[in-house]
Amino acid sequence: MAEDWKTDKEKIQRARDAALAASRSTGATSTDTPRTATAGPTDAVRTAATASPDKGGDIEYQKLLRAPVPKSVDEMSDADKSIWHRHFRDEVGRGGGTFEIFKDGTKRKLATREDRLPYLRWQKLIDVPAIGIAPEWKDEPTMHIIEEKGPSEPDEKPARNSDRPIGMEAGSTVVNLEGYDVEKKADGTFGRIRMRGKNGAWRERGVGEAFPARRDGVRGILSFPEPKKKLFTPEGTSSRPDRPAPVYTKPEGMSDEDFAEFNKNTHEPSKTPYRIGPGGEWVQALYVHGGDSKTKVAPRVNKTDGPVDPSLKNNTSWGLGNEPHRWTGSQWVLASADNSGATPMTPPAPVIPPAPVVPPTPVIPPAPVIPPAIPPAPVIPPGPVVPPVPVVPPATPPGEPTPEEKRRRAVLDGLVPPAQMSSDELNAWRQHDQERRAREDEAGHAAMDEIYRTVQPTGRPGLAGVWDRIMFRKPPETTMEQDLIRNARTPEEKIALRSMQAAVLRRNGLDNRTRQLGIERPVNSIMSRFKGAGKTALFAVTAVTVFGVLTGGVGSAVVVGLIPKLIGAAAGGVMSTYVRNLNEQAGRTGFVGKYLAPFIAGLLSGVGTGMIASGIGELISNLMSATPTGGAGAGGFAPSPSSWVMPDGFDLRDCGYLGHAVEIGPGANFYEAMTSGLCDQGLLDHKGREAFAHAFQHSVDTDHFKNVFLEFGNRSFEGVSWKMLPDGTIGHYDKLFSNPDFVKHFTNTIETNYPSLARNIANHGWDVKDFIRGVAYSHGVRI
Amino acid sequence: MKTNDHALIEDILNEEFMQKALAECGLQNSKLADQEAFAIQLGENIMRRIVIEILAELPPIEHPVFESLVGSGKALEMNALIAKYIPNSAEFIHRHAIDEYEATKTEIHKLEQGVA
Repeated sequence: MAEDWKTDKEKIQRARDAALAASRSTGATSTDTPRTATAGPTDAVRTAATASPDKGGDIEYQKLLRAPVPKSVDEMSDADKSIWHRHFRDEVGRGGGTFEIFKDGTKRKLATREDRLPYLRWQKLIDVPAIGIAPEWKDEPTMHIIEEKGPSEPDEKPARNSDRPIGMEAGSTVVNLEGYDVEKKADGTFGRIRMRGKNGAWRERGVGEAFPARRDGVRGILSFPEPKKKLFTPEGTSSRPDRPAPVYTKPEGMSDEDFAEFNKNTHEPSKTPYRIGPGGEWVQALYVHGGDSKTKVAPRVNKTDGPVDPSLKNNTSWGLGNEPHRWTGSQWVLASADNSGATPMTPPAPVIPPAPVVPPTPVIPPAPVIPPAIPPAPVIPPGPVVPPVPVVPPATPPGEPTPEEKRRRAVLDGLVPPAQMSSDELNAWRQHDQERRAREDEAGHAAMDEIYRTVQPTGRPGLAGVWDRIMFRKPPETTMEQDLIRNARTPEEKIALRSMQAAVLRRNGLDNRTRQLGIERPVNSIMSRFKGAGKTALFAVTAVTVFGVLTGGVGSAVVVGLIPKLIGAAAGGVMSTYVRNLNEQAGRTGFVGKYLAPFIAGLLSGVGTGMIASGIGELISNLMSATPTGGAGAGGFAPSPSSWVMPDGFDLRDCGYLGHAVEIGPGANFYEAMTSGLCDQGLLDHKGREAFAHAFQHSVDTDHFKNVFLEFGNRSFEGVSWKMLPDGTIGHYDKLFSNPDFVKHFTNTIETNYPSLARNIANHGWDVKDFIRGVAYSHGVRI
Repeated sequence: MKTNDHALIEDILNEEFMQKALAECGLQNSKLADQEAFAIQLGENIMRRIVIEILAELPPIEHPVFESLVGSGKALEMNALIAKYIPNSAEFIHRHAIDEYEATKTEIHKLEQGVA
């Protein structure tokens, strides 16, 4: 069947090619192939109809496509690998798609799934990312292919990664990119681009400079996006060699302080240099076009709050020009280093405005004498109402802030607890806080701009692009509540439902209070740290500690007896010290209630978290048994004093609920929830994390577990793209990890097809099976 | 296969004082899983309330400090920070923890009356 389809497709292709050739020879246009009708031979992108072996295609490549897919990539020759890599290019990151590259430099877009089938067949075999998934390309620059056919330089051969050219910085490696080599420095940034010349020497190519053609005639150009803003660094050093930092001459009449500020601000696109206003004050201005008569100036910020030049009021065509230092406006010329020939104009002498008339200091009348409060009579007759004593504002010396102003400043500076703020003050502080954070974000972005200005790696969509689509789940309490509702059949279950509803209502009430106080961010940040398997035990212990305190005296059993008993032999390091201290305190005071506060403070500070986490002995000892870290009395896992808190990579957030259905919708990103622990806790690096999720998706796809995993009514998801899942699709992770076949296949997939990931896992002392067991456990499945 | 965290929670639930608390909430005959879910949610609420109330008492300028201490393992510094702004911190935490438990019980009774 598949062969028939191939044959038909080839027939169609040949027919289209013939029609196209005929139309070209006659100059006619074809109605059934409108795109090709207008596409000449020199067009950059060929359509499917034009891409064929006899129209500039690559015979070897076509043969490779038709050859049976080997079972292992090891069976492929280097030549075949080279052909494969050369002919498929994922340009999703640039908004393009997947392209097939041909020998003559043209390419055709693989627009349909049929077009991509050969790609998909081989993609499974070769360890390169699938369409839209290119983790290893994520941080690398992009080589754009110039579509013209350049002179072939057969002597140029791509260098191996280990082949370091002379002059390369220590620690740098060579990243092969489309057959060219880019220097990747030890700090992860990209340096200059080099390629091997005919004589074996390395020749540098800058950004935007065309490379000589490769053996296949394809020419490349390394392209980094132009920086969108900030042509100059705040320090005044230009990051672009073609745009040296301007050097200004101080105009007459400008103070050193103002000139320093001018120089500083001139390098900031968001700020502007100054000019002299009509009243002689310094006025910030923006420049439109630099260096010619079109230069215009418009006031933006009046530094001294003085009057604004009325002639400039109607000038709305302002903005930052590329060369603000070449402004030849009305006041003065700011000579720049690359404009040495310009004759600075002397600014007009600043007109000193007349000193403002200082109004006389108001005479503050003496505060009226407040009569002493009259004590209320024991019997209150319906007498005349005593007017309230007027509140006399305290006299404030001129120049000093009033109490209201002081209070306002204290509120804005965060010196007043939220609980003591009025609603207006809360709103003012919240707005101020948001503005402050926005400024910090802007500063952070500016710093990132600085980093990316020289080399701007082209980010390609990683797994998140696909997984974000499916990895959303509803809030855990909703899941829990709905489960209870669904199962509430017996009186006991209804009682449980009520209790759970009450707890959820309380949670909602706490969220409301959090919002009222304007402390959502810190609260959520703190609570998110209690996560995963440790969280369930942690909160249970918190509750039981409270119960112990409530019941009076039993709490000592919690602190002194229960926790060590439950944590047992896993106790070690700080935890044992903590428990010992509690024991000592218990013996000294004998008052249970005092232990709740230190207990919770201990939990908050992480001691309790680690205590509980390290108490999850079985999982941890299983996971860490291959790499015991030593320590006192810890069995397979004994945390060292410095790292005694278990890096609970499998403590995926809300794992107690992930065993339930996961539904698309607003909520947490489940991809992050599934993998963040692995990465954040150092169990896997970033690529390993993505590879793990990729392997998971790959296993679901290739081993036909999509219908086990996903649910949307009675719809079948077999063959449905991950990007096309309907909203409301439910992912059943518990079902998947409960399925021994899937677990087996998943294990095999990682071991066979993801050797780097397997090595990454092994480096942490686990085998893949244990690793997956831990992940399954985090989804509430014990295997 | 039972893992230790579930064994831990089971042991907690089987303790005499926990049984007493569950009885107060009417959950003494409920399934272990329901008891566990309730205890966990209640514990989270208690912890959340304590965090909220502590943050409400701390000036915002100290919030980042508090955040940084959470999970840092510096229990003494955490205690010192709390004690700086909340003089009787033990009583404070104790009171809010118990209030949260009592508030939950009140909610249960409200729902009970509404359902019955």
